[in-house]
Amino acid sequence: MITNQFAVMLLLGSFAILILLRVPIAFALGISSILTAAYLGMPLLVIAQGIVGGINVFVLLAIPFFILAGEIMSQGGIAQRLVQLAKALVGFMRGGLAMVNVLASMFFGGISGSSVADTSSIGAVLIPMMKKEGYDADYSTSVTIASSVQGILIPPSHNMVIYALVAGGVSVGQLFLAGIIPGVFLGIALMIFSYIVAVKRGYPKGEKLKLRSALKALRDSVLGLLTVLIVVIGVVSGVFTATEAAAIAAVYAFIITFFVYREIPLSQMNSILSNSLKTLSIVLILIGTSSAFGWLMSYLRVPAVIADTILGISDNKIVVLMILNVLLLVLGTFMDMSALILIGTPIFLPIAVSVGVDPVHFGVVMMLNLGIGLLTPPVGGTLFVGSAIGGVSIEKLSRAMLPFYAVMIGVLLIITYIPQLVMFIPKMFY
Amino acid sequence: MEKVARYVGVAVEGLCKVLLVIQILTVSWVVFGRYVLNKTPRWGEELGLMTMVWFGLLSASLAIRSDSHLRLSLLDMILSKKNLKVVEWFVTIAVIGFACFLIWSGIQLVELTSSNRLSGIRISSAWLYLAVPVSGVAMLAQLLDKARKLR
Repeated sequence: MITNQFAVMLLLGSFAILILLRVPIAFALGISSILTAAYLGMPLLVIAQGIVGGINVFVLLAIPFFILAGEIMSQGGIAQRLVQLAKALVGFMRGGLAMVNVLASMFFGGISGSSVADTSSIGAVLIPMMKKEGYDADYSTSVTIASSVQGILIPPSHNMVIYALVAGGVSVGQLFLAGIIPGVFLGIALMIFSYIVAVKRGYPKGEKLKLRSALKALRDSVLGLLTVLIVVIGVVSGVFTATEAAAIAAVYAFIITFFVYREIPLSQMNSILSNSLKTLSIVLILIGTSSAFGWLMSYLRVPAVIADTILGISDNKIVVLMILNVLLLVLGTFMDMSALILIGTPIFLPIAVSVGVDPVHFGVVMMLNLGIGLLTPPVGGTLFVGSAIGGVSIEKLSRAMLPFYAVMIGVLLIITYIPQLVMFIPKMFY
Repeated sequence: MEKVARYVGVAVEGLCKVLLVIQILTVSWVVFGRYVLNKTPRWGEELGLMTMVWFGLLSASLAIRSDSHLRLSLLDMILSKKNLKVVEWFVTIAVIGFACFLIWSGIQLVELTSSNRLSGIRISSAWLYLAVPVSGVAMLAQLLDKARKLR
């Protein structure tokens, strides 16, 4: 079945060796593609063209905008407002600040689709606050990074845009809607878990907020929360494309931050652009080289071989979904999310579809699965950021994360095997 | 070399920011044009994409400078400082190879596409592919500075 076994081994083997030797993933993908193309005697220009072609895609224009919108909101004081609102709602319970953290991430997820942005903005506000009230540093950081994964599930989410692009024929609007229940469900599971931990360890209750300050918190944050409505309603109703919605979200964020909230001077746009560029400098090259790599994979018919192998083990939906989840979890520990969506979707989606899984459902499963991968060593973007912000070493943080991984994998299994949870809202609209 | 790398870094960051702003304004204008003026400027989409390709590739050199590209850090825990340095040399040389590939293949792409024209903005599509060799050079500047520091 494989046309050229050695080429496949060269592509995958050189990639494995390169990343093991600490070559950045984005470049390792490029270098193994070049080596393989050279072995196959292809003109090497194909790879350079593939890298450019991977980035030169209209739908991807949404990415800079969603990142920018999130960055404007987090520097513009919306994070504090969302924390206030969450405090008003759940802060009075035992372990209140841990729950506030989860709920604030849920709200923030409706503004930014990035788990890293969520960790850096919500974490910067809440981790110091939690430490001051006697929460352990590793626990505070774990709650922050675990809950930040809600941002990927709750729309807007630029990773869903990438998935829709590679999956082909899946609407971004449907994916956005499909992420809502799983995102909220993950938040509730994390809140229940943090409540249990708080009772066990005797973490403090927060003060009860007066109705008036609760209403004020709501009024202050409602303008920010409107972002999610604009994006979701716009995309779902078909009024805007994802790219247009992203541009509108960024412009909207700009207007309310600089003309309504007016907490930061316009000159801070410079640092907002710098920070957005920092994220983009990592994401875009990765998208480019992953596309070239992914193209070679399909050229060598690797997806078909993997499909045959997996379906050879079983064609039972439950078993196949389990195998896919385990594979994605393992790959997610050492690969980055956007690269895995680009390379993995063409391999795994057809397998899932062949056993009768809806592409929208599979997309959401993949988002949560790879979101967990962002929190696991040895390569976990959110884990690294959390460790820096919380001042906790990666080793200590990963150990504190163990029970959180268990909770998240539990949620993953539930949304994998109860598709109704994912498909309920999209079915209402489509 | 240190100075060169620093200047290149500052210049690239400035240029990327300008490109990002151009992209934002262009796409916002396209959206505004579509909903308010009822016409979509044909150059808008192409200009937005071209700026994204440029800052996407160019900014990769900034992440080399700040060492923020994602990588596997397993070996850091296993190897001694001395051996780790050897590995770091290997990494630097491998990525230098990649940068050189971008320069070499990029120049060919530019030559190959110089007669094609992008229909919307009516300039040669060589301008799009020029981002490849230029980014290769920007990466090379940062990598050589890294190699110098490793010595």
